[in-house]
Amino acid sequence: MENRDNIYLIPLAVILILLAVWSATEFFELTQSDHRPVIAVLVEDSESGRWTQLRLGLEQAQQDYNLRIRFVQTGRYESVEDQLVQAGAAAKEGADGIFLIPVGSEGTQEGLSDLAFSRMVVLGETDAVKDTSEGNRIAVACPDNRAMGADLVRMALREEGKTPRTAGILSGNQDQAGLRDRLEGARDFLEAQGVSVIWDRPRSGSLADELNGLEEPDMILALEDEALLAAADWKQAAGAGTGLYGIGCSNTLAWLLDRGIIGGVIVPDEFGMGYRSAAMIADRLEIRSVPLQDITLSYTEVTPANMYEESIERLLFPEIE
Amino acid sequence: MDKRIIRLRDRLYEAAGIQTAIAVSFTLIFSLVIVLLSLVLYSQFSARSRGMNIDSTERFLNQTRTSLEDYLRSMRRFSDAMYYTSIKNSDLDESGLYSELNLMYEANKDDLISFAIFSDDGTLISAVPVSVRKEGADPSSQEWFQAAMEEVENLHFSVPHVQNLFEETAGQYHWVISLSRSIQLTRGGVPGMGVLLVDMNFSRIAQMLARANEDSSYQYIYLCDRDGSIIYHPRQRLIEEGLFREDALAAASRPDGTYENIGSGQGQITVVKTVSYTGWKLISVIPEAGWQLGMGRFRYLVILLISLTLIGVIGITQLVSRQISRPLLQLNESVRDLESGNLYPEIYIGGSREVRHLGQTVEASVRRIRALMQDLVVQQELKRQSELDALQSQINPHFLYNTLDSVVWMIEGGHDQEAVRMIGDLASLLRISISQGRTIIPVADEIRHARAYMEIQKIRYRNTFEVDFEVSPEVESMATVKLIIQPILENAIYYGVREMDGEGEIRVRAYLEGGDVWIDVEDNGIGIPEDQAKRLLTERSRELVHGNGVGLLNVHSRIRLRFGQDYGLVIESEPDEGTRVRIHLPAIPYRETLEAELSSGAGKEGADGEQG
Repeated sequence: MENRDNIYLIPLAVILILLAVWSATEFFELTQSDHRPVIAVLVEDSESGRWTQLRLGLEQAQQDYNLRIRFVQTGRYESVEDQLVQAGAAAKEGADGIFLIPVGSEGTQEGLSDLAFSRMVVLGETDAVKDTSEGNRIAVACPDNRAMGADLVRMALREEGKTPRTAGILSGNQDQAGLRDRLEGARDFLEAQGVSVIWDRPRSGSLADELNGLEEPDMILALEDEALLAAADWKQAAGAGTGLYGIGCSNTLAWLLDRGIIGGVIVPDEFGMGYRSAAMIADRLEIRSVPLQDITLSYTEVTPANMYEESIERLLFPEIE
Repeated sequence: MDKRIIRLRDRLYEAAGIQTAIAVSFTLIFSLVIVLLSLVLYSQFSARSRGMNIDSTERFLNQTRTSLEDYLRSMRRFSDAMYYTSIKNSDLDESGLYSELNLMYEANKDDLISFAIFSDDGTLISAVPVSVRKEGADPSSQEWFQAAMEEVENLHFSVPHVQNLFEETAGQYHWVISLSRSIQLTRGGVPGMGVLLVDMNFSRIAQMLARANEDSSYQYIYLCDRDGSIIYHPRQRLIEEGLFREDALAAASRPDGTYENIGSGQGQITVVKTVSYTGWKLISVIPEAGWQLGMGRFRYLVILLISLTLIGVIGITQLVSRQISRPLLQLNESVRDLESGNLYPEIYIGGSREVRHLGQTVEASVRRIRALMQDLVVQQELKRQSELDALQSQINPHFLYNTLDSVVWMIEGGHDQEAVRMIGDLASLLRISISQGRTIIPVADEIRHARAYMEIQKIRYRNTFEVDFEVSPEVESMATVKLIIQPILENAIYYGVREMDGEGEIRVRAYLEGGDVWIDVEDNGIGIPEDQAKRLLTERSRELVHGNGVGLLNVHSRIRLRFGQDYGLVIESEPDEGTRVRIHLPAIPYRETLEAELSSGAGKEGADGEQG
């Protein structure tokens, strides 16, 4: 047989070899699908019950998207720089994406720029990073904090029945842009309704003690979970009749609501925050062209009257056992 | 068979060798068979696997349902036991009842959260473990209470909810399913109606179903009541968030069975089972996308195996086709050897019976061709010899006639001495002409022959022209065909210088040039036109009226017959200027055996061999 006659079968053989290589690659990729993208989660005081909803959302995404969610063990951060250092360490340990609720907003964007170059980053609860031009590698997942602050006031006024004349605000961690927005929204609405803010206290280590020395307003508005619990403690201890309203989502809020210690609470959708953030990172890791986009979260008003409604129960009591 | 396929096949067979034709045909046939077989097997496997998946899902769903029913049955029995053994026959105000109920609770507390007895107006009569009714809680407004009071014969299972009747410590809330029934009770000897509430621990059901959902990443099981209200769903929060959609109502409204694409659940298989006592529906969903994902690995494996098999088929068909075609190809090589001119090729005889027969036939044919060729060579040699003889015989009478004519003329004119010399020259000339029968002689003899001839002619034409011989010594020993200069000289005289009254000149030069022997005969006669000069060496020149081309053509043919087509005459002539006839010969040193050597082989090869 002349050598040139082989050309009839060479293209077929080449195609078959390419097909074999391709199918073998795909087969082994599917077989060795043990590699699951890792998303590191950095929130302050990671063991706190206030992250239950967030955890459930992230765990649901872990199951649906074959991810590994690594909750980094944290306590109280001294500064956002400490948190960013820890995020960098998590990235070095192999995290493909970072979900982070920053304890402060100043310097967050600058601090994340290097990290975001190699990892997908989603910031929760705060819109500290307004500019998402870092190659679509940073996004924020948060509610409209300003509107939420206003809605808290609206709910408080509705629940109080009569229009209170004075209000005190526990404004929480004002290093966070999100909490500053909440405060701004609440203040604006209070002012519009003719309610005067007689004091405004940011986060501190001894908030309950501080409250003892303050003039008792008609109602207290707590803009974050920790402040709300501290105010509830103070209210129970002092036997005060001041209306207490706030924003939060920890497990004990239901009991406080049930007892009437808290008149109403706005619960941000932290389940959705966790789930959607992790899902977006997973999608982006799988298909590079999928951009990271900011996520606007919803929130729900819960009062003692509606807390046992079917749609609210899973929000307040997320864990079956 | 389709004509196009036949045409394609024919074209392939025409264009390719037999091995390729066999290999390509086998490969295509095997490929087609393998691909078709694989597709059929794949679709069969896929369908079977799908069926098995559904069967397995149904079995698993049945097991889950059984476990669920066991749990519900135990709760139902618990409720029955409480009612029929303790409550119905006792006065609830008697003190011993509570300890009895407490014992029953302790025995079942893993499965239930609490139970309580309410009067028909919703007043709490007793509860285990001991609890205080929450301020503001109104049992009679709750769904489980109303259902029990409306349908007194039945037991009612609620959808899961957080128990909110009793005071709880912080963080002690429980998800329960309320099993309620209407009861007849006696308090202080007064009969009445009431409601027995057993709050089942929902986490038991949730854990049971969570475990059922652990093994599969894409198919899942959920539980809903007959109205489509979801009791348990692995993605319940996503459904509430609007991030996942489940058409539970469509599934719940169907009787038990397996359904494809029901409700809005397009692209999925849904298996529905009804849970006894409750009317709940246990539903398993197998999304097509997830199913396809599961088949993906198998699909790639099939493609990989087909590809490798086809590569193997190509290799095997190559080997087989080579094995089959090798004898034919070797026979073909033998025939090619024969085609290339080798009359003694080694004919391959081997392989199968048919190919061996073919080889033997070819070999016989070659033997026959060889014999025929031998005959042809002999015949050609004889023909050539006879032609040579004829050519030479053409010269002798012609010349003799002319010479004798001159001698006669001399004798008649009284020129006896000149006639004697002429006859002497003629004798010399004839001696060389005869040359003991040889046709190849040394150039020196041929020159001598030409000189003798010219001596005769000069006497005959009374020295009306001059002759000059210039012969290079190294050509004298070279071989030539005899009697080739004389006809040219004859033409030079007759058609060149005869009429020039003493001004005619004939010059003969013999020399070596470019490794060949050249003998030029040049005259300054009347010459001939160029086109006529060209025709002198063609066969048509025989038809010329004067016949002056006949001698030249004879010489030309004789040289080429002996020495090959590269040699012969070259004629250059211009009217009124003269003619030069150049004799081109190979430079072969003369030897006695040369003629025999030239006769046995081709003239040209012999000449080339000598020059080399």
